[in-house]
Amino acid sequence: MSDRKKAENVTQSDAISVSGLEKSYGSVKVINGINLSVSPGEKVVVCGPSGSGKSTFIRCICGLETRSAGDISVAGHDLALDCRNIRDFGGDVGMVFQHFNLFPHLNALDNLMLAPRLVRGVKRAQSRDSAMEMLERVGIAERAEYYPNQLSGGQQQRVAIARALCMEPKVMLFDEPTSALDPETVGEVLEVMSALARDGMTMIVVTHEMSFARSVADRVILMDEGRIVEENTPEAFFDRPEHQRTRDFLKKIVHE
Amino acid sequence: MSYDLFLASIPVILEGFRLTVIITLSAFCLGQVAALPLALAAASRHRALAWPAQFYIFFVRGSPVLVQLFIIYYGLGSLEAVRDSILWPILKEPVGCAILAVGLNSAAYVGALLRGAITQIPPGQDEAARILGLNRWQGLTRVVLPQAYRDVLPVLGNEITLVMKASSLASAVTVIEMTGAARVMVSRTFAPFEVFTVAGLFYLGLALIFAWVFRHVERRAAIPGLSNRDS
Amino acid sequence: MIDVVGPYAGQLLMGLMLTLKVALGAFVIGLVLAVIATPLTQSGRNPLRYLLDGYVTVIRGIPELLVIFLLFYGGTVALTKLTGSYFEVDALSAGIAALAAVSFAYFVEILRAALQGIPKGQSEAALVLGLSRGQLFTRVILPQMFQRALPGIGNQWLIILKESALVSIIGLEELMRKSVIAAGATHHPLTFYLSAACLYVAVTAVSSQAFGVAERRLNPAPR
Repeated sequence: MSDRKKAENVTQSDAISVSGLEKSYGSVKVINGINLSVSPGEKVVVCGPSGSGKSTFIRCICGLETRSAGDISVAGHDLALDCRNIRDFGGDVGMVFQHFNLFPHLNALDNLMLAPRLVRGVKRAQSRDSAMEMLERVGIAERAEYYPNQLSGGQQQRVAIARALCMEPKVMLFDEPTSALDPETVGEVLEVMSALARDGMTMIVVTHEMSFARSVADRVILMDEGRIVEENTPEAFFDRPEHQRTRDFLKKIVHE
Repeated sequence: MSYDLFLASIPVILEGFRLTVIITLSAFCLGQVAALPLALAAASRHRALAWPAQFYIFFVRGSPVLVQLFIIYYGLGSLEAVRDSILWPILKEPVGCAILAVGLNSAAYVGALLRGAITQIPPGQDEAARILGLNRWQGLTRVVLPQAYRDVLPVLGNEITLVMKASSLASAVTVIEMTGAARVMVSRTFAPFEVFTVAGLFYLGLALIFAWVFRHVERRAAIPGLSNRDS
Repeated sequence: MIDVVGPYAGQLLMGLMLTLKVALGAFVIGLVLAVIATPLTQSGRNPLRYLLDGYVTVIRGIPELLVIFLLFYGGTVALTKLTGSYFEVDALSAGIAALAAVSFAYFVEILRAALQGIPKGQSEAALVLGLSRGQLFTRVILPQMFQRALPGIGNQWLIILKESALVSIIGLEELMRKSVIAAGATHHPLTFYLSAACLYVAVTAVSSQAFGVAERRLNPAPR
């Protein structure tokens, strides 16, 4: 508990700080030198063609992928090159996956309660109350006892968001959260994410949902071939793109 | 077929029934306990752990249980070091050796099974556990293993029946469990059909009990809304 | 250790030959009978089907050793009664018969599952094309049944190989029995039982590889 207090007292000017990030799979350079600073409360949207490395990038930030070079500091923790210390983060970094990754053998409530009880030692009754609150926040409290396979994709993703939130993260990362969803359920998840943004959460979202980027993002980033191509406010990014590749990408997105 | 001989066999076989059950349950439990570390070792990224484990599974699954039983009972018993060790009280008893041999054999098969189930769990599960802050042990016991064991449960029900059948091998090292008792009685009465039929019926009954128990366990453990198998 | 095993190597190998004989005999008989029995009992409310089901259930629930004893001791008693004079069933016949009887049950299960896996549309297509029922069976159904059943059949072969060791208990001088004799003569049980184990492992490993090759040949990976 005191470690977390320490991290909060030391005013980090950046919630997330990435410098000189590089990653190679064998001889293929997937990430080719990326620098990024995200202030607390900032919302950054990352987009780009498939193979641009955006998923790898966000996974590097939360420590699920090791990196070849570069420094990463997130939520007050310095991330080791081999990501050994990811478990020390204690849930300070929240991650929402494209395929939800809910625990299938636990119902929604238990999915939410697992980490707080095991990692923070929260008592059962208290964690139950917090979990129910969180489920209400994402609008799915009536399905608390349902198992993941009994929920629709959109419902599962909302539970996944709630699960990450239960650990009171300082930063929330989203790896294409709506790409695996039926079009009808995309909206309910984006709703939850927008509400989260309004409440002041620091967020990095990898997504193709441009309407979300326009309304929620403070910054939009285009990645291609492992590099940041363009980085700007949503208005500038969408209405006055500076680079040809950005223009090409936007054209493709509009036509899909 | 003599009805009297049939009836007379029942108490004799029943006497062996106790040992059959003891050997079966003990060997099965031993196998279960040993299978988990074996599976984890076999699935490990560290070669020092994985290779011995995989070799053990390969060797034990590639040779007959009978040979393994003889290695333990006769083979180990011939070594001075073994006779002086603390394990000797177990290893000099044929029943102990039978439980050990059948149990270690079962461990190899169940270990291979568990290893397969563990490696088939989507990596996203482990990632989610890690990012939520769960440590290795918590991730294993609360996320991976509950799912892996649910996957192998149907096969475990079959495994205990196989262990029961293997228990009959104890008769080859003088243990008077059901098969041993039957054989002794046949040598006295020359009534193989009656005696072996009674033994067979007892074995079938036991197999049915095991099947019922496991079906019950499967139902209790099942995740609601999910049908695990299409039979 | 080599000097202990050395003189007996020939004996062990002779035992291995007999092991292979027993296993092969049981394998072939069991499989052939199953290939005949399974399709016959597939169709609906066949009384033969219930008989077969019952047989499979019984075999699955009793030790193989019991079946071996039953056929060995029981066979002697039965044949003596039938022929009037003392007729002793030899260990080899009893062993092959018992293992064949057991593997027959498992082969039936394997073939049944394979058969059920073949999409019904196959028969329909064949009949519409004008094939007779016989041709449908031999040219369409049977090959696919074997293709699907191959892994199970291969696995059963390994099981039979290892089960053959049980026949040593009724005195057949196959590999296991030979190692028991050698161990008794030299007072080196560990050496000989480990050697026997190694020989079994070698044979099962080679068989595994062979079946693996056969499976890959029969089920070419999609390009």
